[in-house]
Amino acid sequence: MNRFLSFIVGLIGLFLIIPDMSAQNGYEIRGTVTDKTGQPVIGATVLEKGTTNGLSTDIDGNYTLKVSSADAVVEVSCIGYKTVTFVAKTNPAKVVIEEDTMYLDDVVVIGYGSVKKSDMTGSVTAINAEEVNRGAVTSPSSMLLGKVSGLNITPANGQPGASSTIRIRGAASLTASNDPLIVIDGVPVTKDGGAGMGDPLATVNPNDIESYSVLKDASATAIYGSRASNGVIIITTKKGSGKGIHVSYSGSVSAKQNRDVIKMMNSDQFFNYIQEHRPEAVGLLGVDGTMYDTDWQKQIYRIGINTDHNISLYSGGVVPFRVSMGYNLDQATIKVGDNQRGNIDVSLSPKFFDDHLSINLNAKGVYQHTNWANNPVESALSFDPTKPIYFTDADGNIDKSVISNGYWNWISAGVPNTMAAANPLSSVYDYVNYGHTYRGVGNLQIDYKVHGLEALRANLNLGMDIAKTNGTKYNEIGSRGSLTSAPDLYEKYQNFNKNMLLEAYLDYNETWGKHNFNAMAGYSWQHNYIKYENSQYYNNDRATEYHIAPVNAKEYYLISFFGRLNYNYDSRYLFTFTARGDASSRFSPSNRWGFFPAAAFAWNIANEEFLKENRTVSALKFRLGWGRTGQQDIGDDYYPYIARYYESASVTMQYPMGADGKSYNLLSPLAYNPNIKWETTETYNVGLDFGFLNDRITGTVEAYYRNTFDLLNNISIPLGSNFGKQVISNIGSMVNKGIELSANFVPVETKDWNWKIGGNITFQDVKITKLTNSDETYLGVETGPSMGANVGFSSLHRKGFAPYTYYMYQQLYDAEGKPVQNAFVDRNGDGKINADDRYMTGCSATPWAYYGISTQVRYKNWDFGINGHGSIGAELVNKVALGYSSSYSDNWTKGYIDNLCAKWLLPGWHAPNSENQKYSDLWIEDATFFKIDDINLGYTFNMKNNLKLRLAGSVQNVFTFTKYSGLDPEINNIDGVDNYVYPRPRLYTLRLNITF
Amino acid sequence: MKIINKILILSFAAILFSSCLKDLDTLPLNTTDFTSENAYANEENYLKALSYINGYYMLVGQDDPGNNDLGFSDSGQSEFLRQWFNLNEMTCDGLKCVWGDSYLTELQHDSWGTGSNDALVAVYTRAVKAIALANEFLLQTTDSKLDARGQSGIKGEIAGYRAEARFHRAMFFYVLMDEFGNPPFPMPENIGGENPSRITRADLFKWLETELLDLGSDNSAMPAKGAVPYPRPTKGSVWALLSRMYLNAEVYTGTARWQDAKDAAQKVIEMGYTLAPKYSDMFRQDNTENGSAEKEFIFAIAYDRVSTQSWGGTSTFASASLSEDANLKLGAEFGLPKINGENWAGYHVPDDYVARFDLNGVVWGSKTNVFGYDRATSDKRAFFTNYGSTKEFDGNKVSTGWMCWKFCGLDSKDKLAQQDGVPGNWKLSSADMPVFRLAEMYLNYAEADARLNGGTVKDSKALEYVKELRNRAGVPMPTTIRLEWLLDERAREFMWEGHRRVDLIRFGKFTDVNYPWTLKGGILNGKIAIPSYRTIFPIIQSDLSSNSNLIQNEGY
Repeated sequence: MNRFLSFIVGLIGLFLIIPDMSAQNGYEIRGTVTDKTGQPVIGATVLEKGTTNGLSTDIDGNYTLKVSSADAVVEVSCIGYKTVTFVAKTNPAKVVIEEDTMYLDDVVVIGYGSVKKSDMTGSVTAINAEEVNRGAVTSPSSMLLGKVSGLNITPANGQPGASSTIRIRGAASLTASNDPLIVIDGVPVTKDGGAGMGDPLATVNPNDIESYSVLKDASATAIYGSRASNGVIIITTKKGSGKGIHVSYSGSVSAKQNRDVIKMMNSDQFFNYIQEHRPEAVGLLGVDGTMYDTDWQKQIYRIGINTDHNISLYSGGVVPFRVSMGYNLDQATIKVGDNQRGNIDVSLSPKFFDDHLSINLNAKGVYQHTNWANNPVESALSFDPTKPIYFTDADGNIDKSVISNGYWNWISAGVPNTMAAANPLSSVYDYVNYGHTYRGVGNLQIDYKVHGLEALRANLNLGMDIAKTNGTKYNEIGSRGSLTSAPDLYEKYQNFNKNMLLEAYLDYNETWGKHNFNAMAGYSWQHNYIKYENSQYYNNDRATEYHIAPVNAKEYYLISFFGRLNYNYDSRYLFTFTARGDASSRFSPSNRWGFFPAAAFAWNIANEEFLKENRTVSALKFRLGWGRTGQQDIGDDYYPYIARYYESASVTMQYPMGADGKSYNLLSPLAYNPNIKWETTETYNVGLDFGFLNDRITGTVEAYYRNTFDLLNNISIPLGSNFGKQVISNIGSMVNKGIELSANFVPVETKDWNWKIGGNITFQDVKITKLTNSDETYLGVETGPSMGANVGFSSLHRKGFAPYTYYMYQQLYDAEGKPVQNAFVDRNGDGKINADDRYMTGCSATPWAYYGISTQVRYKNWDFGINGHGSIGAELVNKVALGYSSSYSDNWTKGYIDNLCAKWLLPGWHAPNSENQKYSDLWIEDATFFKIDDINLGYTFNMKNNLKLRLAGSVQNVFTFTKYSGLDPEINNIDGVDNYVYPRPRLYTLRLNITF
Repeated sequence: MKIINKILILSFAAILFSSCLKDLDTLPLNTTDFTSENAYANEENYLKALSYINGYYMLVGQDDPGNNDLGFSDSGQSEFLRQWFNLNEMTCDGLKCVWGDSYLTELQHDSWGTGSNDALVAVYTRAVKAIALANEFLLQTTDSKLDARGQSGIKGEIAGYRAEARFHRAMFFYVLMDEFGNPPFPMPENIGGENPSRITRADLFKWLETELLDLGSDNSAMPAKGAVPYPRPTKGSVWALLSRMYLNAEVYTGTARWQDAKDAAQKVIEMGYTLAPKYSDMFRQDNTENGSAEKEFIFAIAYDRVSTQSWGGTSTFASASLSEDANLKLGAEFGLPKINGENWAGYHVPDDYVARFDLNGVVWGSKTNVFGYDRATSDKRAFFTNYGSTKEFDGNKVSTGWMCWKFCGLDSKDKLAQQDGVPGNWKLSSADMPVFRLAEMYLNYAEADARLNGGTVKDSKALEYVKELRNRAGVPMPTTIRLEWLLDERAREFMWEGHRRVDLIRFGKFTDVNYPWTLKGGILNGKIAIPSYRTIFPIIQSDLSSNSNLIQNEGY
């Protein structure tokens, strides 16, 4: 580490040798730069034209600059404003700079280039990563939460390092990946980044992010072809900028606390209940007649701390650079479970030969260490509250000599009762599971404007994404886990991912009068390689090999050619055509190439003569788009089309075929599908962008229709014609349609006051329109988890329904409307209740609408913001409620007893829940909710000498409005079965930013 | 300058675009992955491929007993043998379960539908997949393939392997014929080709008879008894299967074949199998080591808690019945902490079945007599306990009826066979499961004789065979042996060995309103007729949907 540090210091030192602009004797100018509302503009550049003599305005917009002479031309510029020039001797006291409408519609980063917002034809939402209006941000995805219409983010559960689920315009696929493509500074990153990095966005430190572009429709995404069916999120990180060297520090500290727990019976309640309703089991309560009162949830949870420190150095000098370092510690609210992340980000962006050659070098390194408890959430609910935490000796001290390292556990005949749950604290403290990941993402982009033919640009991008994870898992010796594991193992694993990219394109721009052309053509080569290694040893000595798995490695290649043609006439009529040909090594040579075209048209109505001078309508654009994108990310099998044999190396699954019982490993042909091909999504998009009253009101209305065909899914094969039960096939089609509305409104904008309101809502509808089997009686594809402990499925993919539509029995109710236990409607009327009586409930976890809303108020140096998001119409299956619905339990015959939860016990339910009862529609609950994600308040201190200091406080995950009876109506399971979620805590954060 | 630029750009482009479209032809990287071309380069791999087919009765996948290739969330429940056992026992009188799993409830109430009953899915899917595996093996081991691989020298050995693969294929086809009546009929040419055709029960019987007679003939490559190590199949297995098929021929084809059943049984008996001296030894954890398996088992399915693991099979049969209390109390009886690693408290035997055994001094509710009867003087094939249970059966209660410990964690020395070798594996079983054993040939022989002689056993050899079994069980020989008595004797001798359903159907009792049992047809007293279409199970829905050649069985 030391060597690494000195390298960084050296690197920084290198850039410190930047020509120092010593003050010259000459004419001094001074003044204030303000915008048209009179608000001082901080950080505007005041520059003597043609020289490098300049500075930035201070916090009050003031500047004092010595220029060479009274006749020198002074230029005042600031990003987002029109540049103003004046002659030094005319030095106005107040320079008013106007917002640049060209800049108002910022340049938006799109695939292989960027485009002015006003010239955009596709559905792209750009978000700048603002400092204000946010609390502790540990994942880049949380900055997008609720901010973009059509983008639905389900935040990760409360486990540090857990991943959030990101969906752009819903899921387009059943089995293949539904994750959008994430492109960081031109490098598409892999999803599987290693332990604690499930979220591909977690590769980048949120503090380093400059902007996001969310590409939603096919006309925008088709340039990424094969990987873009689920939309694209492009992240651009910060680059060196400004004069001189700047230092920026931001730090935060948060306390995390669970917002809510499920209230279980306490010791007294439980004792009384058992005594009254199940007297046979009273003998199991307490220890030798003593009733303890242990709140197991209280025992496993704590207040977690999250601290985050980031420091960056940047400059826009001769070699613009930015170096940043960050450290984040995120503690779980469960007593064991921390995520520590250190990262470094270096960016160099020099230009040579009169700016003809630009080089962009980005390198990001992340080190992450994560440890996990053996998830005790479920056992903390169910564990008997009349039990003590520890076995104690006669003196009341913890007796570690007793089985399971002193933690009280159910014992049967001298060994832990394997049927019973583990003491939750055994799961927390007596289990060791940690992993560390090193990941590096970097790219070198060389952009060359051809000398003598400046309209032509050649761009070469070389990128890579490498991650390595080492992990260790074992039970502490003597622990319950160790005693009950068969066999008890000490496991070490190593994952290695390497993703290489080579892309090159040529870009040509030409303008003839009002005709503007831009053509781009390129080539892309990608290689993805994954390797897993796993070694298991007996835990008792941690040296004797149990099973050393052979190295498991796989790879795939993607090769593509792509091109785009933009034409616009007078910035009024805009056309875009793109095409991409992709080949994936995952498909057989005959199905290998996919062709993905797209076309879009936009009419920039605001630029028409009749609206040009209109003061009410400041922007108005109509957009139409069509395109096709593909999907080849079809799961873990990289060779699905090849007829393969697999020889296992397992030492537990052999068969005795030899003399004296000698056992052999197993060799078997594997299921394969020689005909597997691209899944294709066709999207139609129509949109209207508007801005009124000088863009005080802006917004977009869009409608989309997406049809995914040759849908990839695992389906049952005609048995006997292949070697599996199911094989991945192109089976049908699915339609996603929706309407998106988003609007931003600035009701107040004065010198002291600024108030913004933003909101967006997406209405969606998803239906499977075809499954391969034309038989109308075809049940569909069985999916969704089992509701019992054993086999079973909770939902179906069936024609005419949303994916994962719950397939249940219809609960029977008595005259008073109370559900009758184990009684269901005989829907087919054959006098029997069996699997044929299950029905399509029409309910699924897919909401019909989701929305986000935010507001921000600024008064002088104060800022205040609230953000929230919600969803309407999603329905969840509350499996936790099912678990506590009946007071019946036969566990006592197996030597233990579990706690109960009064809120979910149903009157009259005193029998065991039948397996059918577990698949009842009774458990489906409306999960409509609205969440206040954060409330924040900040103050910016006025400091001299370009020093900027901001202090902010926030509360995150503030409140949830819902009727859902479970812990949280928002779950990450696509199948909608709520099963003991790791609670999302509330965060209280204090945050400090210093820039100078 | 411009020309130089153009050259630069062109060469730049040329370098990039020429970079390997060949990359796309990537092949698997792992040393454990093969294509069908190189999978058999190593000669030992033929045995490895045969191992998978031979073990497919109990293997749920290739890697881990907790990971199955059918996508079941509980791997133990995806095992062929466990669910074959449930289909044949739980639909009848010897086994009920209180877990409440809907598929088990459907079986014990005889109310299964065409939906996806897990037991039906597991048995059907695994049987057809095993047939496909055998077909692939036969495709890959032809003489011409061996010649092409330069392995002509091992043709003799491979011929035996091929015969074994054909036996397993026949065995799985027999299961399909018996359980599903008119299943798909995949042959080697269906692999990667057209969907398998449908075959009727009678036609499949005909095909199986021809196939097995060929395998069992004197000049076939099928190994004779002793020519391959236990538990691999031999000609004994072939003839044992023929005997069972002929005994039930009337059910399958409408034409009785009693003499053939008798002759086939005799043929096996003459091969030199002997009864295990002690009945219980056959079901104990060391049934391979104590010699009883090799003596009496004609074909068996191997289990080993270290190297041949499963959460189904005998691990389940041992764990599924006893409650915690009964397990501890039985353990104390043997001077041990318990007799099974786990106690799942689910499998129960109603009293009407247990009553068929000669049990002396039955008591209910005793706190001192753990078994609930006097074991020493009772039938030695009885392994029951009613500890903590009530006689009256109540499917909603755990403490009801008898629990059975015929399969258990003990070895033949009444010691707990645990923690030997691998710590923690004691939950899993090492007891092998017999598919055919000599006792069946004895009773097939006797029954066929009775059928040929108006319902009473006449053949002196048959009487001698039955007497051997009675002696081993420590119970007296009846003076006359009639068919009905033989049905009961099979219930005693083969309890929980998967014979019950086919026996009841053959005797016409399965559907008969006058042959009630607890929960028959979902009625507690079982006084109900079961429609005859339920003597075969429905073709599973998913295969019916994917293979248009199939037709649902009548009645479903």
